[in-house]
Amino acid sequence: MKDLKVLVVDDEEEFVSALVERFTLRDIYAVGVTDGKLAVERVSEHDFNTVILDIKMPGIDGLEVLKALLSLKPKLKIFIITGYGSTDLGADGLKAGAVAYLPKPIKINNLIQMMRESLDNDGESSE
Amino acid sequence: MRDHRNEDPGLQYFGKLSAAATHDLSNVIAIIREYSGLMNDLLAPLQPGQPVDIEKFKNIADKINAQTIRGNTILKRFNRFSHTTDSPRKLVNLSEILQDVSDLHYRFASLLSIEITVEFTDEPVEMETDPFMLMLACGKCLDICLSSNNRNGRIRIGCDVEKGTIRLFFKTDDSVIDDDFENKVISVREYVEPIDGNVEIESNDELEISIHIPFPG
Repeated sequence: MKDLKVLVVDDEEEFVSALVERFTLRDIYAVGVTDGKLAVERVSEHDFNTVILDIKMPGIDGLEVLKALLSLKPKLKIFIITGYGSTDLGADGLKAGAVAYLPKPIKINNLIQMMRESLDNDGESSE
Repeated sequence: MRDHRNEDPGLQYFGKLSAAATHDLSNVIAIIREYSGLMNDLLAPLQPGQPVDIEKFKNIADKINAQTIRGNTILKRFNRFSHTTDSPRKLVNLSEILQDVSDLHYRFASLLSIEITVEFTDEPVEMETDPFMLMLACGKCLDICLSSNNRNGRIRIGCDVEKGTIRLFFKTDDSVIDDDFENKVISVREYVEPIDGNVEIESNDELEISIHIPFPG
């Protein structure tokens, strides 16, 4: 079982707070930020292997954040989430290198399974 | 395939605001879902008779309640907008219309980190008009200001009455004119004419759009 180290990025502070706590209760290391610029800073400073990213946030464009994160760490597993209904952004995100596109509200146990499978498929190890 | 959006700008505007409102509601539901899930996560390992962290659960319940209030506000606002299509003529409060337009455009403005402030008149100003066309005209003016403003800017909207004329104004503290500016101005004029108004635009360091409507009082 690969150790997940998750960064949650969403402009909705309450969503980030609740999701991080739910990950923590499942013994998954998780940190949350509420803007894309902070997300890039955190990824450059810390050893995350997975990012949950809202594609539509104020300030820096979500797709630009995604590209910036992958250019910093190409093996990062990025899962896009959004309340935005259009599937175009999801398709753009997948083309830019995201692993999956998930509409809100999310099912946490399904998400965790997807995240673990994504890391396992890469044969990555955090140890 | 025929693009009906150009033939029916009202439909396009309605669709745009519907998408924004439902996006916001989706976020509200996502937060409620996560907090209710958190409550279940906290309860799951407990055995019957084990103590519960009452403060923690109260805190979560308060957060869920806050989101239901937020969701209700979004719904009421959008419902009010939806009802503007009920009748082509109705007595409307102009400050309320401008506040609704501002609130409905909140998401678009926040994506650009732009603040919209509504300046209210001392006394309420009411007039009989087509409420949907008025909101459409105001929404178009606000769209122009949003696209003409650099990020992190400010837009002020409001109304005043002078010499038998109502003036609705939309001011940005910036003025970035793009190639499509002229077309946008033409489209505003098309929406304002059905409500017997005319449009003035001043563009120097700042952009100011004014809709003038005769006001019998």
